[in-house]
Amino acid sequence: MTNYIGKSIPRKDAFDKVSGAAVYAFDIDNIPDMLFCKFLTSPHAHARIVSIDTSSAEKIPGVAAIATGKDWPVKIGLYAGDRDILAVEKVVWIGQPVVAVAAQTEEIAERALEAIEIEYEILPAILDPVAAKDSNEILVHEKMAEYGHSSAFNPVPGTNIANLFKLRKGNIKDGFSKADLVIENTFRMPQVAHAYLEPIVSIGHYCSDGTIEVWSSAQSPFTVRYLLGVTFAVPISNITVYTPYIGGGFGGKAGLNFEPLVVLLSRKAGNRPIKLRLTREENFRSAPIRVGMMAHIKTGVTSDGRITAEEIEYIWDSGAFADYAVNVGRAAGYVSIGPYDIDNIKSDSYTIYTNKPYATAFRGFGHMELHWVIERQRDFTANKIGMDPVVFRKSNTLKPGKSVTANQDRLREDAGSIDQCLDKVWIDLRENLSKTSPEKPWFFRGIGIAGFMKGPAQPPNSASSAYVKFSEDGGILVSVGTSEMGQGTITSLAQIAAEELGLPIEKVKIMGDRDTDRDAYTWQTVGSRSLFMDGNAVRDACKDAKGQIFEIASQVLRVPSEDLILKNELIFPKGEKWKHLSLAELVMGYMYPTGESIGGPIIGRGKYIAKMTMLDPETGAGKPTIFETFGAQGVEIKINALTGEITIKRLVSAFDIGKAINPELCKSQIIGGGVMALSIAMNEQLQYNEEGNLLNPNLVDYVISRAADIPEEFVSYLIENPQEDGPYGARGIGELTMLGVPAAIGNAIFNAISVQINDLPLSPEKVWSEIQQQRPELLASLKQKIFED
Amino acid sequence: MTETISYVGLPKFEIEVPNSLEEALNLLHIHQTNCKPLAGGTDLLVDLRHRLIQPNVIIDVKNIPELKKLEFTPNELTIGAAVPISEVLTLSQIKTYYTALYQALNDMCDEILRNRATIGGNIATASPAADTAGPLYTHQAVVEVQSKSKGSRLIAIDKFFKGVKKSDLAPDELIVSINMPKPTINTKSAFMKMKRGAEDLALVGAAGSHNQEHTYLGFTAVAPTPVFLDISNLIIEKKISENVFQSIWKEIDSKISPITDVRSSRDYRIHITEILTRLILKEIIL
Repeated sequence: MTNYIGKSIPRKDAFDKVSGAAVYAFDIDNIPDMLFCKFLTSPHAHARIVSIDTSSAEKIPGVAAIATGKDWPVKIGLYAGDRDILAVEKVVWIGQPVVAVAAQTEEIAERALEAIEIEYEILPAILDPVAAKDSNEILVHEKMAEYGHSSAFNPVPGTNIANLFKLRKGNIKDGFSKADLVIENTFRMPQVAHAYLEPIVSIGHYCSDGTIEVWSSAQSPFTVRYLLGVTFAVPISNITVYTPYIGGGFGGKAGLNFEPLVVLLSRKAGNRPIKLRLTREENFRSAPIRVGMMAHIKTGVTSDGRITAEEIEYIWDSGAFADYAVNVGRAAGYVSIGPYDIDNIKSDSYTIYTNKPYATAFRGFGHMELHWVIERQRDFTANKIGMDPVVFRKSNTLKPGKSVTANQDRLREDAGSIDQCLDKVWIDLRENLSKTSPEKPWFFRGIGIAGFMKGPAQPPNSASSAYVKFSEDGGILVSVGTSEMGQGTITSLAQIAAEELGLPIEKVKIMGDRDTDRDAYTWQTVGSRSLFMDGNAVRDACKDAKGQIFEIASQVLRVPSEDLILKNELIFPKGEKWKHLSLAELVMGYMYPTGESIGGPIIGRGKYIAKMTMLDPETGAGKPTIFETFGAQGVEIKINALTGEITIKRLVSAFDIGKAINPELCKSQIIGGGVMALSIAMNEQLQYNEEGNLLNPNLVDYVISRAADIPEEFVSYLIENPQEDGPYGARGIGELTMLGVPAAIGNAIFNAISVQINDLPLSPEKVWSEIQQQRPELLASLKQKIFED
Repeated sequence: MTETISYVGLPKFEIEVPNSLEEALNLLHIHQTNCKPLAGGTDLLVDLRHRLIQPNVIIDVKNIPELKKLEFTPNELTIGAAVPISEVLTLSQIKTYYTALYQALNDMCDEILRNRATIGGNIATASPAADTAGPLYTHQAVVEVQSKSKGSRLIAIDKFFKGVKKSDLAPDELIVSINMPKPTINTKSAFMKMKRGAEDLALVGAAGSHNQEHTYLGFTAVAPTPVFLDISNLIIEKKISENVFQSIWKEIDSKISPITDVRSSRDYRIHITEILTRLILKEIIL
């Protein structure tokens, strides 16, 4: 009898965003006495700060305060406290903020920056994560032993290892001894930028009464609030974080970013509010980015296609700080082998410090990278033993009752099916394969597929809550803590509330902004967790409200609550619709004709907490996620072998999401995530010179996909094997939409021209240089064909 | 030295908006190297924000009638220096007679920026990657420039570029228009550009034109200035073969000196130059 579940309701935030009415942190200009902040950054990848002279700058009229690292030299961070607000003793990457100025205008602040003198003693820098892993000489953090960190992580002081995660299962030696063939490969992926539309904006106000107010383009306002409390030793209830609409986050705004800087400056500037808005170049150089990856993988396989052992070393280039990225290395570590059942596993996942911009969460959280490794390796292997890539995968995929990777947590019966996803995509790709041959002899067609899985990476006590508050007409306000940054979650949450309370969707209000004082708590808006966790909390809150409504109605109607029905805003005994009360008559309290009243305003309250465990530090055993979403993606491509250019003809995706609460929103996610992944797979990389200076810190030199790059055709399959503990059976999808794209393209390239490419991005130049190395004869013969054709 | 300050806005300058060519030339005469003309601003504003240039005066040339002229006569095509590219593309003869230029303009920057960007600005910046340079050469364009001190003079496009971001323009000179003769019947021309995505600056740009008498090639982003070659003497019997191509390639190879940068390596640029040359020759000759 569902009215709203499975229906493509238009987005709640669409009109505001399309009309320009939506408010972003950038738009907040009406705070009295506000000053503006600009910061000076390090020109060196690694250097000791000898002296900072701000005396001339302080004399410039309009300058209110100048802060350096020594003003508040505490280490901050989410999972590990390794970050300075402003560089304290030394700088660790080019672009690190060193001095910040608060002034009447940004122009005055810029003039003040020009007047500041900083003397550095240059130290040798380390940029390559592989070299950094083994270096004891050049250390990005000599004082690692003094840093605090969550017990889930294992930093190694005296090295550049921010975290080492180990996954172990069976006996790796025995596993390889049972193999007929052992295949080894090395895969790489460069650091990339989130390139969200809205650069970071933060406003901080350290009020004279000791309370703190922050307005910020942050994904996770409650995490910002919590970490500000820790940073400034202020009771958390004295801190308010407001987050207006967010212009894209993708993980780049998931943690604590520039909020401590503006709060610190506000305190120094006589408690005046301070606004910082990054330029695009500052956002590239000074804000966090995506980890880079290098992986070495060794797979043992029998000639009939059974994987007997897999040994992997992942190295994650986290740049100068790893306060959030240690968990990227950990999450990728406990998944390591992807959606497969292998008896013998050894995997080490190292998160490594280097003197480059620091990494944080990014849509997919290490899983796009690890599936680039795993799913390329699966195709390599299938090809070597002469098996169909999907038949080979399915002989090894995870089935219910089997241990998920090596963590000894068995896959539930209701967990969804990787095999169904693989089949849907592979059948579609093969049935719809272009029938005509390419128009020129140097064009080649190919298809490729990749399977994958991911669950939310979060601490075991990650929790969500919600409340629903009625208005006089029986409509509701739903309050949740999760943010709207483009995913569409608030619309799906409104649908859940409308469904549970039998309300028309128009009478369900859910705000697009967040206010930590007003809104219900959630841990963070990350990890494709919101629909599942906050969705369960909303459902729980609606059930609570419904219980309260029935309790009053039961007294009025003199019918036990369990015999009551709530439908179309009416409450009535089963089968006796004519005896109804309306919601409006009840939700503020019921008044009898005599004037005597019972009940009172209804507020429903709901919650959900993750059901997970800590993981064993030696083996990774335990329960790391609340669910896994399985998926597969495939592409048909056309390669110009003369230039290396790849055109994506079709992107086919299938996800077992349990239940599509709003199918059109799911498809929007699939297109958005698909394009983002194509862009990363085919073009994106942060490029540095030998000194560690970022060479493409803008959207001219750093190429992201544009309108004309979008493939001709997207095909999306939403598979619905319900998850018993998900809201209406639903699992998360947001990040999943990217995970298989790079590997599917890599596999399609091999399918088209028998050239194996192990390093991203698959740019025209990369494809050409690999053809040149692996098949020079092909290139030579095609050149000749231009005049013959 | 790495930029340690990223500026939010533009540096301070005076803006002048002359309504006549005379007025504009007077301003250029007065301010000389302290001023910069503004047409579309797609390069100028970026350079200003990064403080790569800091002129005292900006002269907006978009209201000068001579610079807004767009005319196709029986003899020639005249494009005013400040005509936005989207407007140039509205002239149907561009596609018919000046195919290489049409292809370059239709693929330049992106659809939105083409409403601002101008051919005058594209060549005045004298970027080695200027998309229009190759096609303008293959269409044998002549640039009309004016100044108060020297009056009007014509510069053949192959004499216009002098180095990276250096042109033959004197500080007080303004580009008025770009003029191209109407091509003879049976002239074929083409432009191709290699990019990293659908909308990007060129890794390599290549243009060619061919008729009974002449065959011209123009390349961008492969040397400090655009590279122009008259290969008419190498085209024997109006045909292209592997041997003929090799002799042409020898000429090209001796004139190009691409660099490695964020967009491409030197080797890839050389390879793409070769491939685009082959494809263009096939398109215009065979």
